[in-house]
Amino acid sequence: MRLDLRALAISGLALLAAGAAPARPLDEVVASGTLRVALYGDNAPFSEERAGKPRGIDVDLARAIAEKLSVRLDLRIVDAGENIDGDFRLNLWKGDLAGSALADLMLHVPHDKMLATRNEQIFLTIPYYDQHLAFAYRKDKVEGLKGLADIEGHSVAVEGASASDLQLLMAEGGRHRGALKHFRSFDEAAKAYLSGEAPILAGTRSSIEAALGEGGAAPDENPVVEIAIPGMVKTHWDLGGAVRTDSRDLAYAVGDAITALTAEGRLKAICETYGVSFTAPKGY
Amino acid sequence: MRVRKEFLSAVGALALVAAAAGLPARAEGVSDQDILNDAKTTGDVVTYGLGPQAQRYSPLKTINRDTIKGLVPAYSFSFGGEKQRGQESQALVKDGVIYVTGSYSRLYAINSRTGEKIWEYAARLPEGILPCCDVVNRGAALYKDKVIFGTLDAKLVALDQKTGKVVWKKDIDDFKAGYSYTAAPIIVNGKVITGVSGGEFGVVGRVEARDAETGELVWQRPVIEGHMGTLNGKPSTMTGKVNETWPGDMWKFGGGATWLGGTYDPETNLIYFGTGNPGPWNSALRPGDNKWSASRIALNPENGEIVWGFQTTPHDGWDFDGVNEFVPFDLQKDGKTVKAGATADRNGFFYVLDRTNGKFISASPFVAKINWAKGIDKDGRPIYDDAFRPGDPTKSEDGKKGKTVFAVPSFLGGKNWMPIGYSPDTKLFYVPSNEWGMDIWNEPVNYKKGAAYLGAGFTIKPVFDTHIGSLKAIDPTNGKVVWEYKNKAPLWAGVLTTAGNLVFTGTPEGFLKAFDAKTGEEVWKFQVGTGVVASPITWEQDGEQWIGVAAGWGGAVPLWGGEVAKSTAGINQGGSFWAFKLPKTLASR
Repeated sequence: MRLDLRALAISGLALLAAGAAPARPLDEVVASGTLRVALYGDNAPFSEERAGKPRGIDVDLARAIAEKLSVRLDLRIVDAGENIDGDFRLNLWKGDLAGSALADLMLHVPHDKMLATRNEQIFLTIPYYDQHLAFAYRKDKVEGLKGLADIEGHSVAVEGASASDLQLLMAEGGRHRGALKHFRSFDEAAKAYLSGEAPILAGTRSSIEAALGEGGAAPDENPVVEIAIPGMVKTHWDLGGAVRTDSRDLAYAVGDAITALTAEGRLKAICETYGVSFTAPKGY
Repeated sequence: MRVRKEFLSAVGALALVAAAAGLPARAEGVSDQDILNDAKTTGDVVTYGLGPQAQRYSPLKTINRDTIKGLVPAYSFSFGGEKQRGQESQALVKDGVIYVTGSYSRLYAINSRTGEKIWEYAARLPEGILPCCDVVNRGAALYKDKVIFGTLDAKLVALDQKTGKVVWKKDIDDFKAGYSYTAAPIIVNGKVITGVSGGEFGVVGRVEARDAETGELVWQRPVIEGHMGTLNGKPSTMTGKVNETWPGDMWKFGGGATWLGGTYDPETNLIYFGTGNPGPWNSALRPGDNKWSASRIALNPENGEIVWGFQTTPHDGWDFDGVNEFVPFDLQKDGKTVKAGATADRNGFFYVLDRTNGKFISASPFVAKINWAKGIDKDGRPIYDDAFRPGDPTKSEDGKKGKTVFAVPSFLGGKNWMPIGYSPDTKLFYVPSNEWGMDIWNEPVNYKKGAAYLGAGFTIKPVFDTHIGSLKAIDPTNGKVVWEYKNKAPLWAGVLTTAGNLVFTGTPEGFLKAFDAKTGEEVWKFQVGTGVVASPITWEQDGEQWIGVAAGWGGAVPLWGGEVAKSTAGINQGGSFWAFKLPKTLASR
């Protein structure tokens, strides 16, 4: 840990190096009475700030985990970097330009063995949510959406450079490219769908469900479906947490908390608060 | 780019330090004429590039291969604090004051004779701001009584040259949307001309002109087809035509960042800018040439209209971010003088174009073993070798990464940001280049904000065992390499050439070096204690010739690991401006 501080100072990135604290194992977290959790901003329905207040599934989950560990929650809302490997570096093991304190735990981390292998500085908790790519469509405009062929003749609102976007750009040799309406964020894509600008919306199931719920779109008129699309892009992944590799006992304790919250039905209840259906990851 | 919402009050409080003694004479300001004459006036350096054409040539010749052994350090000025990495700035000198920017958007005024600090301005940056490619700043512009530079959070700031106090400050764009600014602005006919930095989805490159006195926007020119320009607050004309070279609505978010800034040619009254790579990275997803990404464009400085464009890498698939500077020069060809310009592209080819109309004259490789193209055809278009284009992900199996290709050069480029130079004496271009390639593939195991996406996987590898860096002297009449200096680590510093038949550049190993401009023989070196990744300058004061360079290892190279990192392991950080002079007593010997 001392080594990390030194690395920060040497690289000249840490103006407040003295204030930067390393990630800690379980006993230190418990002894300090505080669990520092990093969550993404602008990541509804999981974590975002509204009127200066953090809200979302991950926010509530982080609070519940802290409760299970009998510690106070110290929440840090951070913006996503170019990839999650960079986020690990900034939030869990090396730190940022300003020398902010490292987090003990990051949530919303894809539970992927290859990702973990490539980032030896971090260790994954068990996952808590089963994420899928999906579509919503307006029943009055689109007859049904069972396969790619049903997109024909309709426009699809999608966040640019998202998994759904890349999937559709690549699908069937690219023949649906012309149908895509790109937006800078999912939020903007959802607004375009809700205002009737595009009869199909693509994104993650959780974000679609939350946006439809919040936009007052009747579920019967706006079915959310998953369709099989072959290609390189992952269409589903599990979300879990990550800690620093020398804080494995913390990862196990967080895992126990997740298991308990799932069994108690609290995780499901949290998701439903945000209009999101809960599916537990399988095989853990 | 990654940004936190709160502000860190401790970072970058405005620091005004008045030097008690030795204040230089009252500055008279920098006129438009001073800027146009900068290449000829040896007592000052008032532009980025030592003249608007940015040939980086000085007529000074007191320092030459015989006298240079008498060149001694005069002072070393520290940028202070802990923010040392990544000093890529070219300094300016006017009326006894050096204006040099530091990384993290800082600007210093220094007494050019003594090295004492006059004032310092440190931009107040948002907490946690992380530009994709380091925290560098490449320099400032001088106009009348102001010194103007851009910041990492995409603001343009004009300061009073005497006090360092803010005269005006304008947003170039929203840093939260991924915009940044690291280039040196240029001044053309009273306007300050800038591009934009940023690689996030949705960032579209553009060139802008502001009134240098007030910072008010005059015109904007997006570089990607389909986007509308503005002039005096009203829509002007569209760049190109919608869907001419882009599919669907992908032009809306097409990339083409103009992050390196531009050059200006008073003879043709044209501004030249390079434009960055298109997005998304895999070319199979955006059939077409994708104009004007990876191009050089010439603009009318009065209204921002594109006069001509030349695309070096149409349908770029390798991240050959073709922002490289276009340097006007007079080409002697068949007994005639052609108004030409040259550019050493990220893609490894050295191009000569007619600068009046963008017509292709010639192109030749300036790095070894280029394989993505077999050559450049008679119209200036690459002859692609599809065996070395990254795989088409639409043809890949589920979840598989697809084929890996080894492409040369790597995406860091045959040449990256570091400026080239041209000597009208030797009639040679001096190009700091790097010999490296990359394994590149579609990597499905990639996540952003907790969601899957398809990024590029890559590993950068040296092409030779002995060296990566290569400073080359290139004859623009035939594209031949006249001489080459090989450097173990990648070269990342700009060049300076002088009438003393010298070429200066820096190395990551910490040396400022001088070479015989005709032969490439190394005639002088000095160790500054940290890597040199900046552009040197020279000027004359009190009858003596001076050399100045910022020092401080950083830039994009140390951000990428792999085999390249081995050549730069152990290089120490620093953050300083070094001044050298040839004392009169030694010059006359």
